[in-house]
This record gives sequence, C-alpha cells and structure tokens, in this order.
Amino acid sequence: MNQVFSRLGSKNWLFHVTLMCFLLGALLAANLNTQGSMRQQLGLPAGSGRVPWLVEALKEQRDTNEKLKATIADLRAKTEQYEQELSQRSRESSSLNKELQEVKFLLGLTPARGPGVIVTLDDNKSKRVGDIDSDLYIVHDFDLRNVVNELWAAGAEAISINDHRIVARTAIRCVGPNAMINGEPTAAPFVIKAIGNPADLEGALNIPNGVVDLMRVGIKVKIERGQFIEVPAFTGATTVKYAKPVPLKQEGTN
Amino acid sequence: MIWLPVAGLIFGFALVLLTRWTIPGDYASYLALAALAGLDSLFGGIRAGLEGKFHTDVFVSGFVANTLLAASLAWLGDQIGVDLLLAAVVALGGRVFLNLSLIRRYWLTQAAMSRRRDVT
Repeated sequence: MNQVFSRLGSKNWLFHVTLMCFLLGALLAANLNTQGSMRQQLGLPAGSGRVPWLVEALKEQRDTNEKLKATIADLRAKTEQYEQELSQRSRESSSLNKELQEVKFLLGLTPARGPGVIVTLDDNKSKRVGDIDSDLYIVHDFDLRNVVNELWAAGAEAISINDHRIVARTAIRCVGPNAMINGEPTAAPFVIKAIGNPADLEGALNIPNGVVDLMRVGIKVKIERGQFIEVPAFTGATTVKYAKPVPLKQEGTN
Repeated sequence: MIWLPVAGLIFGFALVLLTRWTIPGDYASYLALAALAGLDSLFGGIRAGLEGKFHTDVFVSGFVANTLLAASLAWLGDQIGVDLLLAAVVALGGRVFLNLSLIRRYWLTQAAMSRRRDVT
C-alpha cells in the first residue's frame, strides 16, 4: 500500500490520515472502556456480549437460588431434629420445644396440612381487547392481595400462592408480567391454597359484590374445597436487622 | 511511511484506554456507531488511495462528519421512535465489507503486476 500512497505526490495526506487514525483509535478505546464499565456494573465477565450473558447470569442465579433453598430446607430440618433431641433431656426443655414448634408453625416455617379451599385465578385468554379495559382480563397483584386478605379475614390459618407461603413479612407486588411473592417471580395461573374452615373460606370469597364477584367480570376464578390441603413451608430469609424485641419488664412502666 | 497512521491508531487507542475514560451507558450505542462510522471512513480512505482518487479534504471532512452524523442520526431516531441505529449499522457495516474486499482486490492485482514486472 505504501507505493500506492506515495503515488499521490503530496505528503500532506500522511499527517491527516495519522490524525484520523489517532481519533479512530481514541473512539475505539472509549467504546471498549464504556462497554467494559457497563459489563462491570451488570456483574458480567469481561469480553462478553450483553444479552447472552444476562440470560446466562440469570440462569446461574436461579440455579444458585434453588440450591440455597434446598440447603435452607435441609438446615431447618436438622435444627428441628436437634430441637427434638434436646427436648428429650428434661421436662422443661420438652415444654420449651413444644412452644418453639408452635411458634415456628405460626410463623410458617413448617409445612401445614388440613381442610380448606384451593382458589385458581387465571388470565382470560379467550376475551379480546374490546370496549372494556383489557386490563380486566389479566390477574393482577391486587387481585391476589384481595383474595389473601379475604381468606385471612375469614379465618384462614395458612395460605400459599403457587407454593410460595404467605407469612407476616410477605409482599405481593407486580413486576412486569409477573407477580413477586416473597421476592420470587411467579405467573398465572395462580393457585391459592388456604387452610381453614372450607365453608367459611368459600362463603367469604363468594359474598355478592365481594372479591370473587368483582374479579369474575374479567378473569377466570375457580374455587374448590378440599380435606387434605398441603401448604409448603416458608423458604425465604428470616433475618431481622433493625427490630429488637422490647424487654417484658418495660411493659406497663411508662 | 505506512507505519505512521498505524502508530497514530495505536497511540490514540492506548491514550484513551489508559485514562479509562468512559461515557454514560445511555450513550454507549451512539459512541459505538461513531466508531463504526470512523472505521468506514478509514477503509474508504484507503480504498480511495488505492484507486488514486484520495483527497485529504474529502477524507478528513468525511471522517468527522460521518462519525458525528451517524451518532446524532441514531440519537434522533431514538427520540422519534425509529431504530435508525440499526439502519446505520447495516449501511456502514455493508460499506466496510465492500471497501475491504475492494482493497483486497487492488492489493492482489498489484502484487500480480509487480511479480510480472520482475519476470520480464
């Protein structure tokens, strides 16, 4: 190529081409830096394309989550075993353990079984977008909250949605096309299992102009009674950072 | 003499790389497009040189205008909801490949010609 450019006679071009090459090098390096820092922010390895790595990272994270959940269940089972062993040593520890197991059951840390209802909520796919708002045909986070609220009010003792146990600190919220329950995404159809008096629970849901009545306008609702409904244990974190129990002494002194 | 532009390229690259200068992530795709436009101009310049049609003013103005225009057109496209970024990538990418193949052809022809000259 050298002899080709030298044909041009003037040497002025060399300076300009060099200058442009310098600019191009700077542009490419700026690109490299920017892409690198973006990958760093996303926690992706260097030299990776963006989307495939995001998918890969998501999958990996999910696998890790599954494994950690299994570990949690394992450790909780072991703890319970130790508690049982300890309780056999003396009567005090036995009664203490009984109380502990009760509290854990109330917290939702153990699976529960009993009579109750199974409510299934699903998007109404047969309906088309028409003169009514198409949002009506999709199950929303507030539908789930309404049903759960109604079930608690009717005396439900344990509730789960798509095998995510509803506990005191559970949040049900909308994230894109999914619902987040206990920080984990889950999608329609939603199977809500509730343990309690089946007649009470079903009756509460079916109050005219009540929760289900209003939902039936758009989405598909199915309520079944059952005698042996199983609700899984809560598998999320139980760490408490800020709240501390108030010592019993202080009660009533002020 | 060909080493001077190459040295310039490496120098510019190293300079920015070592200063770790970055731009906000939102504008990363525009910067990438500007770099692609720069590559296109450079290869176009080399091709023009091989064809004996190289003009410094055309090359310099083309380089500057193409990089700026590509980035700002893509930005405009994003503002009005048309993916002009993709159109620019296709157009510029196509031209880069075309120029590269032409450069390769000229170079091969020249190599063949000089070989014949050596024989005779």
